[in-house]
Amino acid sequence: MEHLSFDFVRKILSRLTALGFDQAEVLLGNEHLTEMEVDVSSFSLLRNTEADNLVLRAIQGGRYGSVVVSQLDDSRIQMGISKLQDQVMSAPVDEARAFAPQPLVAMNEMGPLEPQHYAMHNSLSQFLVAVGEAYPECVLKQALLRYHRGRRIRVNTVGHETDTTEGYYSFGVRFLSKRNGKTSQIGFNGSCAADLGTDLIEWGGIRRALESSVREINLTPLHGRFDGHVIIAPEALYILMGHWLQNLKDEKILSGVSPFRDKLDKPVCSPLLSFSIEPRGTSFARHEFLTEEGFGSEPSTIIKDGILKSYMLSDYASRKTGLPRGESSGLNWVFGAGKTRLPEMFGGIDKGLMLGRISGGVPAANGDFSGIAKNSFLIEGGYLSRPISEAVISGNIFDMFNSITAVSQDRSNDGIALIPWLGVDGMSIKGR
Amino acid sequence: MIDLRSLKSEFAPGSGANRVYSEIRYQDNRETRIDLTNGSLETNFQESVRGVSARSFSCGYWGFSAYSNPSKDAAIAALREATRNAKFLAGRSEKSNAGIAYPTAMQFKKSYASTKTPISPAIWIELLKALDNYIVKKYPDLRGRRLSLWSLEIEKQLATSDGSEIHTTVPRAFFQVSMTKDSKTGPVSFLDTRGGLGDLQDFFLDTPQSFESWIDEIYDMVSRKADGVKPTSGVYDVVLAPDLAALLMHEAVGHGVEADLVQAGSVLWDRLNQMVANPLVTYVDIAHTYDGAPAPRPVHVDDEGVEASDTVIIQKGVLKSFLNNRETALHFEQKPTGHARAFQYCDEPLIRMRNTALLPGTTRIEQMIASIEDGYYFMKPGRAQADTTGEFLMQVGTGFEIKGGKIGRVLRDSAITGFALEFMNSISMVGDEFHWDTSGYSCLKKQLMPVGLGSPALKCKVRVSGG
Repeated sequence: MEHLSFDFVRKILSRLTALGFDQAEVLLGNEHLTEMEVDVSSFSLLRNTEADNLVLRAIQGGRYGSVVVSQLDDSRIQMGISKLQDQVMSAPVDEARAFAPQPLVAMNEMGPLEPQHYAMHNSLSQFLVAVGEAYPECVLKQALLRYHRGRRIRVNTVGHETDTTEGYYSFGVRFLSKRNGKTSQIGFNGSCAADLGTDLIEWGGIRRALESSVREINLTPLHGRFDGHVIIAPEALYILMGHWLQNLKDEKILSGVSPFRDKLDKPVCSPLLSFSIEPRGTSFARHEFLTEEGFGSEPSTIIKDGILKSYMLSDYASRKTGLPRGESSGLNWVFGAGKTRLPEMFGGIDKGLMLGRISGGVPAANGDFSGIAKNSFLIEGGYLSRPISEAVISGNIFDMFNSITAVSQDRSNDGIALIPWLGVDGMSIKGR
Repeated sequence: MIDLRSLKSEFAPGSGANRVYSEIRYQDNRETRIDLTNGSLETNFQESVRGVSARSFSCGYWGFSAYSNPSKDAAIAALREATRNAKFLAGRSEKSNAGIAYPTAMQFKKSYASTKTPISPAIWIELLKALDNYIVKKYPDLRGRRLSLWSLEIEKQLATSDGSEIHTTVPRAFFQVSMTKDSKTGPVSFLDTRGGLGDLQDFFLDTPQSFESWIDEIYDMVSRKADGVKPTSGVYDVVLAPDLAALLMHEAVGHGVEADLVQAGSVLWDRLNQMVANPLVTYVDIAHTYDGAPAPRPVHVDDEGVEASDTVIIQKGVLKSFLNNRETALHFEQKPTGHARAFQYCDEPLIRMRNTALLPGTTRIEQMIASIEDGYYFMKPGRAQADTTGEFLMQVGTGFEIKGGKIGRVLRDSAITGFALEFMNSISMVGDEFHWDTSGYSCLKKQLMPVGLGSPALKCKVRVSGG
């Protein structure tokens, strides 16, 4: 671990500056993972990994290069430096490349700094018992409890020197439920936490997902087709919002595919939707101090009452397009709470769908998408009537976020996102 | 590189109930990626992800440990930690009937690395810039364009406590061009990819002019898609082109026979030696050689030191075998045939497909199309997902109507859905021309994994979703 120091990284930076680069940057990362795995309700694997990652970047005459080295002996570093020289020489001039200046806070540590093997084993054991007692019809296919620790030391020639460390736990489960020869669909859920103080079954939406799985045992195929209301559960909304947000990020903005290129301070979705990023929000398990490029991460409002207030662009994409840079790398989502209680959202729906999870691909460039509704229920007469299978939901993702009818007061917190239930209209649901 | 032979004395295999199986793996994943987006060099990086890991099996539990700075000391530390991790779990609970198979140990060395001199990134960037200029001048009505070159060469060295010693190097390289054009209903994209087993210089060391006809074809498709129609939703007879059929078989069927997913309740768990598909269907996971040539992702020995051989999954419609690692092979009393693979040095081997191939039949694709009165011809796959029930959804990037036995209008993006068993039983014609997919597909199952996919065209019945 002696290499995890400013001294080590500064020496590499000196080697780069001695080569005459206009600007240079060295980023040394160290990632630790401890993973405990349960397969088919039985412990199977304990895994730990330790990985170093050295990123060398340089700019000369507007030409930029970047090389990653995962072995830190002198000969490998020298090979990396030689490759970096080749890359810089071969790159076209691009004045949009630059490195991050020194942020306000240079050092940060957050979360647990070491894994607790005994506590992890105890938590998982208790989870197996808790699920067996509360949901005996539920069969756990896989459970992964992980401890993550990441440290990053960054120095560059524009005065940046930072050292940040973040530790946290994550937990993911895959399960189904069985009774009298009938089986629910596979369910997934996951969450993050800063410590193991809370029972795993109470993390995020895990208990809700297990309860739903038991209710899904009597699922039957959906027949016919209808167009109408869909209540999107937090797990499905996380996926769909992720697709929508891609249109505010580098690839879709730079390639010209995004429809939001000229929409800053203009409506981009329903006025019922507000969405922000809180990289160090106290209600979250994870915390981001610096963006991936090294700028200080700050809270930002992305959408306010349907109006686009910020893009989520890197500094590079910002300089290329003239649009403002994102204030963070996008960790910790906060959807604004709505005014409607969840039961009331169902109450007004004569026939609709409660979308628990969506299995499918990414939307087409024009926003059209299709997906199979998983862990989902038919809504009839204002109530959840029955679990359904073989239902394909389709629509246009831009139209969908323009057709929001309600946002729930209740929000689910999975440790990295605070997400409500969303009511939308105009979706097409096709059964067998 | 580490001399793994010098570490043999570090293995402590024990015997009887105290037998400990262990493996040490050194791995280097060398990757290059260059992306030119609307003329800007968005990505230009070279990465070498290398390290050493060890895994141990004791009393029914696995322990694993990995370090990114490969050295003899790191390998020894990883081995000791892996054994300690397995024993940590074993010390807290007992497992009955837990064990692994011990097939014949293997000594094997093979490199598919390019014999041509590697090319400087500058040459590749010049190639992309020349082609980008060609696109800009000839097709100014495009909304966006992206040209990407990438390669991944994986070198592995493995030593196991039961005597296997392996050293392999397998590269692959791809060139992808994507175009986006405006249409009346918003932007429309189309992309195409070339490449396969080998390095960039094996496939793409050519003049820009030699790629222009390919570029023209991509522009033609995106233009036709911009004027395309939505398919009408419903259940149809369709023809699936080889690329799409291969990916659909991989997602909907291949995952369902991975023994770890079988144990987790896959729809095929109780169908061994039963008819699960039309008798026209024979589906094999090729280890390394097909029709006398290397498969796209050759595996001679897997990451548990097990010799890889072809696994016949479905023979004339009958499910014949699952895909196993050492542990599930013992559980299902099947022969391990080399499916345990890890993506990076820090990943544990999982049961993975290698080069799944639906073997060719006798029908020409023209006959399939001519046999359909009202249906679709689906060519290019997008993303696909299936779960253990076998229910799948596959996006279709390129397709055509079939009307009166003839190809009709081009389709916009669409999707097909269904269930694995219904799909396999609906196959009524299997094409006579087999193709390996060249899209550079990597499958995600806890870890990414490069895989090969192959198939001829198929005629079958699926649900079509047109939005």
